[in-house]
Amino acid sequence: MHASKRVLVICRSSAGEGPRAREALDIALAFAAFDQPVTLLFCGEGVRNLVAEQAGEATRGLERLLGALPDYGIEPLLADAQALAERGIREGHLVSGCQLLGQEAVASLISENDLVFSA
Amino acid sequence: MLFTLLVHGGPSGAPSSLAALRFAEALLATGHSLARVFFHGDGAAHGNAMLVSPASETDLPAAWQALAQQHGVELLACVGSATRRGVLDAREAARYGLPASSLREGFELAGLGQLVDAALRCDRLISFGG
Amino acid sequence: MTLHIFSVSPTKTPLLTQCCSALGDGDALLLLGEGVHAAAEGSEAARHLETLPAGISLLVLDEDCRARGLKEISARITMVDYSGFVLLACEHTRSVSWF
Repeated sequence: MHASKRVLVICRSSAGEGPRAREALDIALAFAAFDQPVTLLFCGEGVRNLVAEQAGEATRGLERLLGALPDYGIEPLLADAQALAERGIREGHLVSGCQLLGQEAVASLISENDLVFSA
Repeated sequence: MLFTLLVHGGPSGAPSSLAALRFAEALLATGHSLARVFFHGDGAAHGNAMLVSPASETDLPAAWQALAQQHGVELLACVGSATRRGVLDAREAARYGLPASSLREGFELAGLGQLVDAALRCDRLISFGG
Repeated sequence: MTLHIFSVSPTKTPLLTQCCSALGDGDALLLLGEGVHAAAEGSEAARHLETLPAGISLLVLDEDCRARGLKEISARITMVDYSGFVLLACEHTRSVSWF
């Protein structure tokens, strides 16, 4: 049994643009399934994944998946506040369980984790 | 140190994929160890036996195969990423009723649990993408 | 201490700005692949990198500079080869790849 590692997954792609967003979430889930502490941060285009009620082929089911993450210990869903503002996405547009984060907090978030994945 | 590499880019045209190979060669040449290379997303296409590399390019899948054989490195392609890119072993081909397996020798299909395992065991995990 | 590995063109996306804001004291930023363009002397990206605090190491992969005909790099940025890249990976407890 190995010592656990704190994992940060940074999701920078939106599900609407391709499979990278899901692949980032798969990695987060895999570590969580093995009981590793996982933090999930949405930045850049990745914040678009947090918009509620998306109904396209690529985005359908995303809200349900994000809603299930607390069951794996992945909560809250951290969202880059500046990325949201740049995209005109207001807090009221988001799925539940989101917490906004300033860009200045990303450096310390990285230093608090042992492994960082980004996609 | 014991390394694991995570390769996101495909075998043809992604600069990061060649960088991953060069990094692996350098770490082995400087006395470190490489446990596993995990190919995820487009990276899983490295495991395709049916890829033909142009003569002007490094044949990355073949290069990884040779490196793995020489140094005992595991080459794992994420099964979810692989099957949607036409990379299937005999078991997956049978499961989906497909005519042939296409997994390159030296590679294995694996779940993300193998990435987790490697990440926990190793000293360093370096990701290559873009 | 974190090794940041940046491998996309700084003129293609605003990712370099985001990467820079995530750098902490003692971190290293390695430019690789298309990311080496951020080292180009006189470029906006290089000028931005030159404003980073001295406690952040800036490096660029020599092979990828040669591959792209990049001859003049910012004086603030040090060229390394792949064995230097390996050393950086060993010296830093975690890495973040930006692409």
